Amino acid sequence: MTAPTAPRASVFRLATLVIAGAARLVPEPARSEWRREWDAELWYRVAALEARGALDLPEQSRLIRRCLGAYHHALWIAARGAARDLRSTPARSALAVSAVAVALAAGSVAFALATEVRVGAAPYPSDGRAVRIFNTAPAADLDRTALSGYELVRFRAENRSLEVIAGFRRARVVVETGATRLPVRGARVTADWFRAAGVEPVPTGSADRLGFDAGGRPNPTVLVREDLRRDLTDAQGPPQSIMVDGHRLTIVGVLPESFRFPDPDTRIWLPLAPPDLTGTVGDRTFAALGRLREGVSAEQARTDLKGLSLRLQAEHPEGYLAFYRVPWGIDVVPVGALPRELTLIVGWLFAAALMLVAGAGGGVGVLKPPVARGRLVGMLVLAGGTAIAAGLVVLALRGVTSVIGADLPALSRSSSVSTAGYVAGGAGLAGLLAWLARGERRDVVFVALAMASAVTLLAGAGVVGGVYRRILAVGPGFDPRGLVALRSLDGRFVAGTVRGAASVPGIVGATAVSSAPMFELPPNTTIETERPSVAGSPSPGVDVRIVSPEYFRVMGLPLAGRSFTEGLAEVPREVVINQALADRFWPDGRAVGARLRVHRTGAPTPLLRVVGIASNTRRQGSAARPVAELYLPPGYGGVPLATLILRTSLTPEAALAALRTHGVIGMGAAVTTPVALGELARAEQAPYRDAGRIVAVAGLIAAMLAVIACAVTTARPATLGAAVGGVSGVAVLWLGTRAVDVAAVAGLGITLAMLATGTLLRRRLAPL
Amino acid sequence: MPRGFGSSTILVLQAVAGGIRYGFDIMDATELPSGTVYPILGKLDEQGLVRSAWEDPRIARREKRPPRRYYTITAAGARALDEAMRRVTALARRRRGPGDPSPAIG
Repeated sequence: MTAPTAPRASVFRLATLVIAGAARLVPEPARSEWRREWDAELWYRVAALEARGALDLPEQSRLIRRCLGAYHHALWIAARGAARDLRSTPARSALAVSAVAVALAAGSVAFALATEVRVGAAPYPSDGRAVRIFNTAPAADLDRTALSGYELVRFRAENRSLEVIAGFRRARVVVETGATRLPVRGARVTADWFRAAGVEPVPTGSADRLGFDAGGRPNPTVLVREDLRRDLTDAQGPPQSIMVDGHRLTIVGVLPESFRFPDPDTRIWLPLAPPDLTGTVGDRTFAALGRLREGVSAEQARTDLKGLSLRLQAEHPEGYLAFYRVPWGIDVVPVGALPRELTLIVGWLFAAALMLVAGAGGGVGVLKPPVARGRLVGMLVLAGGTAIAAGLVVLALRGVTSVIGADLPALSRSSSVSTAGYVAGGAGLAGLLAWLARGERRDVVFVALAMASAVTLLAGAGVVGGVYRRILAVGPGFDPRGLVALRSLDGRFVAGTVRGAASVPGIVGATAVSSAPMFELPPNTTIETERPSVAGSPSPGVDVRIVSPEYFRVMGLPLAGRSFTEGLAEVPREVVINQALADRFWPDGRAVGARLRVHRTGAPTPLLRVVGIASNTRRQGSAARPVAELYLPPGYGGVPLATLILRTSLTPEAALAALRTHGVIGMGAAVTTPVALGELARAEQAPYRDAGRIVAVAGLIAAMLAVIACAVTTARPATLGAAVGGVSGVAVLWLGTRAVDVAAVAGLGITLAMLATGTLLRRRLAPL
Repeated sequence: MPRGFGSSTILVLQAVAGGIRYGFDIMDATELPSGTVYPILGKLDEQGLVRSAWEDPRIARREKRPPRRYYTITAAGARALDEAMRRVTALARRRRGPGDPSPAIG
């Protein structure tokens, strides 16, 4: 046989490069032989094909495919080597497997926590006796909803477990003082609300009962948070009174900056008229806050209120059951507990601290054997490293949150104590493992710890990132760009106003509504359908908006079917419902044309025909589940269309000025300061965007430290670690994002990055 | 037949037994991809069913090419292949019935 000459084809160079890459995966003792065999086969094959003149394109492609198979071969060798190592040292294997198992369990916990992430109550220093009280209807898929004024009064009078029950509603207001105009999130609260919350506002000189007269009726007063008062302070000092939504109110009390309830950014509290027994049981518009009696647990209060609720349900079946046969319950939840988001962050702190301590201790153990030779020394190194690492992580987290301006609650005392507890636990575990491990096994312990921590962090990052991504992907349901809302303080906007507004230059559309989404909470009621619904599924409550016919077009709210055709003077016969309501009652998709009746106790109500189905809107941020909504035409129930919504290219202030200039709104007419709905939508999503960035940083730190972990170990654990990291990354990212392509690419990227950087750093660090 | 002897393993072992000695040539003969052939060869080598060796470097030098690794079947490998072939033939006969011709392997 004639010996072929050396190959010259460029495909040979390409194939050689492919094989060189695969050789990196093969553990060191076997690598050179492996490479020689592949190189020789490749050389011989290409040369033979060239000699025969048969190296055509299909042959070249076949060659490259074969060389890509070298990666499979290399991984097979690496995996067998690692498996052999593990089999030869069962104790070490058990340790590594246990560590990974612990990490996966922690990832599962993170997953469970992350799926529960919701906009919850913000913490404030509390004695644990303040509780939120909710109506629940699990059969109707309703976790927590408000109480009616009727329920509030009856619960207040008849319960035996709570000192006080107060009601409140969230609100958005515009605060003005001098030249400053500030949109502020606030709450309207009944007289005993602060007592229920367990906080004492600092009076600012007024002798009245912090906003209420002796009968509990609201006075024209307001309470503000310290930071808001500071923002409003001018050369004359802190303001004594401020304009809120066009009304002058006296500041009668100040809350500390640490008080972030019912929302983290609530900065103003306005008095709310007390509930009475005139409303219907089903009109659930009061969020409820109670204060447990001394020695009573939330569980006992739940049992107590459940009993009362059952009694009310027996007395007023129409308000609870109405058309829907669904049992209602009560939930009592302590306020001030560590919020779930913070719990998650504490978990990451723990994992990051553990990883850093493993890095510190393991690095010393691997690179500087004399320092860590004694078991006690190794343990102390780990424990000391833990303390330093924990401090660094807390500082880094604070730095990150301040740089990105995240509106996350600062690490409170209780969460710091929890963090310290977790870190101590982590230090104990890491120290124990280091103490048990000897000599060369220490680097395996280190890899196991680092990988376990990395997997935990990646799991948390993947899962939480997925949750936030899904939340951010949900818009308000309408197109908020260029939408401006303002509310009349002394009446309603009539059709003429709406038409006039639409003709003002710079304003491309105008509509009137009883309460604008994201701007005001609509009233809640129940409905019944003319015929039993297909699913027979129960519905506890439906939000009601009275809107002018062009509402859907102006809001950019997609509508299947049509809007109303009736005018103000006619008796309303038509209704538009939203998708959530349609899905609940007409899952067969036959909502349009069906008829329903809005439930009102004691009053015969007309049947209304469904003429359109609007897309869902988000009432309280994109994290909230869409609620069933009903759009009724003007004139229904005499409810005023008090809010004007404009679609405009003008700023909110300029739009109002234009309306006044053109005489659409009289110069003396009292309206609230206009608010851009787009800004409200962005503000709703800001916490999730910020938290998402933190998650991304945590994931990045995890990946980097895992790379360093692999770098300072021997080849086989590094390969195994990288493989475990890659596979786990794929699994957890998939769980979090449900996007298998993203997860696969990310997992592959993590694996390759770990291997490449690990190999590089190992070479650099070897001389040390 | 040793445990884990799949059809690919039998094909590779049969190719080596037939005098095909080099990795790429075994791929050609079996039409199996490289990611399958090399792990099988490695496993057979560990089990002592094939023996791998490097060709004489003087020959390679004379032909101005790198030395190649070649594989030969061992006595144990030949016995294992015979046993595997017997089992496959018996299985095929049981499936097709006593009168049918046995299928060819390879």
